Amino acid sequence: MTAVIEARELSKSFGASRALDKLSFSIEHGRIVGLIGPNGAGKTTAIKAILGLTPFQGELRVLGLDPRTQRDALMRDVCFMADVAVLPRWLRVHQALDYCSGVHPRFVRARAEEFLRKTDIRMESRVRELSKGMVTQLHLALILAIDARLLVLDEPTLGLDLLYRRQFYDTLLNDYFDKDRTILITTHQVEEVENLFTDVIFISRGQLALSSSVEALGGRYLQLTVGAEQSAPARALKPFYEREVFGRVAMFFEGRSAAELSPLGELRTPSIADLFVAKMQGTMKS
Amino acid sequence: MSSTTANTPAGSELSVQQPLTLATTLGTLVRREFWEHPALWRAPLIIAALLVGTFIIGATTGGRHIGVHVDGWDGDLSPERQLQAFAVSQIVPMFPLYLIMMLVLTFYLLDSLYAERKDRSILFWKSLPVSDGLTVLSKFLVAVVVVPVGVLVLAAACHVLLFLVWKFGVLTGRLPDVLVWSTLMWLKIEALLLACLALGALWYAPVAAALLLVSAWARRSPVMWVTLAPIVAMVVEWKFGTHYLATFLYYRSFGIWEVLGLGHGARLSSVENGVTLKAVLGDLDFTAAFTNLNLWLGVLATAALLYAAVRLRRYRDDSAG
Repeated sequence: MTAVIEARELSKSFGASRALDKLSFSIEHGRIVGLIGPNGAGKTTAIKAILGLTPFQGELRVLGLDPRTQRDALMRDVCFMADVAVLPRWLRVHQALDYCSGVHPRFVRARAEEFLRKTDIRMESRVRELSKGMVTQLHLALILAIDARLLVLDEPTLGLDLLYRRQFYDTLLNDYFDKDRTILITTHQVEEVENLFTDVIFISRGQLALSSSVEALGGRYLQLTVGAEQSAPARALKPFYEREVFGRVAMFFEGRSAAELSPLGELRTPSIADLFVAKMQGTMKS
Repeated sequence: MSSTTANTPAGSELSVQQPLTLATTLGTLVRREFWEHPALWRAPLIIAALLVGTFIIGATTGGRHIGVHVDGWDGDLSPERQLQAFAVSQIVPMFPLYLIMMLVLTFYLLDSLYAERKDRSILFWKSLPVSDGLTVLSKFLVAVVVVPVGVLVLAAACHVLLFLVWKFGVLTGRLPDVLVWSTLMWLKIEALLLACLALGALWYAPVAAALLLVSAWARRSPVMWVTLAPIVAMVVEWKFGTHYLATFLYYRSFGIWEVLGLGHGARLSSVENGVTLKAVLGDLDFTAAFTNLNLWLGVLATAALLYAAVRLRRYRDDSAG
């Protein structure tokens, strides 16, 4: 399978701080990838590099193109939505549709109109008159109407209430995603969307912390919950992170077999959110 | 590349695509500018409406005093003088319209690449397959071609309206019958105005490009940069006893019109003073103006300034950090 994104040793510094530090990863096509990291980990910088919005060092191919030199060609097949609503406030809804039809060869206007009909958004409204949730709906309508091969979403639901967030991801999954598209998402609200991901990439301080498909995570990472008094034998198997919860200890293991761990306590595959916390806390200690 | 095309969904409803020509894209970009900056068309329209409106009021309620510039032409005018009066009536509405246009365009250009960074909508514009070059070019063309041509058409329409109002005033006996329609003269004057417009577009192109560059570059308040910075520079220069910048700015503002033979508006006012129109038309030295070296150096500078603005928009990352 060809990679949609192939990044090798991406580096970028802002003054003394390294936003990206030899970050390498690859994203296969037809996947929904969560790019997850703490604040300031370099997620947005990585995304800007992928979209050709910022200069960087290293090698990067997106849909076979170099975002630094072939950005204009790249944007025909890539669609993105930045962290907060960036639709200009003076723009009217019908103007947004006119504009996209006029400049994007793969914009299917009817599809955007169909989606907008299901909302309370009126064609004459200006963006400034819409609520934040409605602006996101409008942006989503535009994105759904673009037949892109890679969709990049940077904190798309930041500041939205739960109802809008749920609707956003449901629409994305049901009306948009198919095996020919790839979606890359960064978000803080990992718990809410972790069922959506087929793959996750954790980054921390500009470096890769983990890159794996969600299926493979289960074989690789295990979470063992034991009573505090039985913790010693489990601890001997060297969990990379542990956490106390209501007098019990949750331990996270990498590369241990279930047979080895299950006699010691309650075993399960960690959720992505828990794994993320474990990984980040674990690496910070070391 | 072959591997990437293989991924395109074949035969699905999704592969609906409309071919877009460069003209469609550019046309859309130009429309976008008018959506964002309605003052581009509203301001000249308002001035034109005021012009025609006050003239209508004057012609229907006032007396002969509104025709100050035809004082002394009362009674029988020679056909040549009637033509002059007609030509003057055609040229005069241009001045308020072009004055307001220059003002609006200055603010437009300063805002055009700055506002999108300030409200971060640049991230939306950049999410669509429009190159930075085409974006900057569309803004430049709006300021240097689209709006000036539109104002020329508006001025022509304004003139026709004013002419009709005058004729109405003549019918009601309030205005002297000194204006005679001459299609030949009308065409001549319009051609002259169009040539002046082309000349002005070339001469002011580097100014427009420089304003765009400031707009793409300034971290805050591009208006302050283009007003305060030159003033400070001129004051500093004055302290050292030179005035190169002032001379340069003055030259870039009026230089080409002096080459053309319109220095200080001398010739146009002389039309009103009764110098023959033939002299005016004949005296304009378009050959000298269009072959002026500084005119074409300015065009070269325009290309360089636009290129710099495009590069800035392409690689600038204000939200870094």
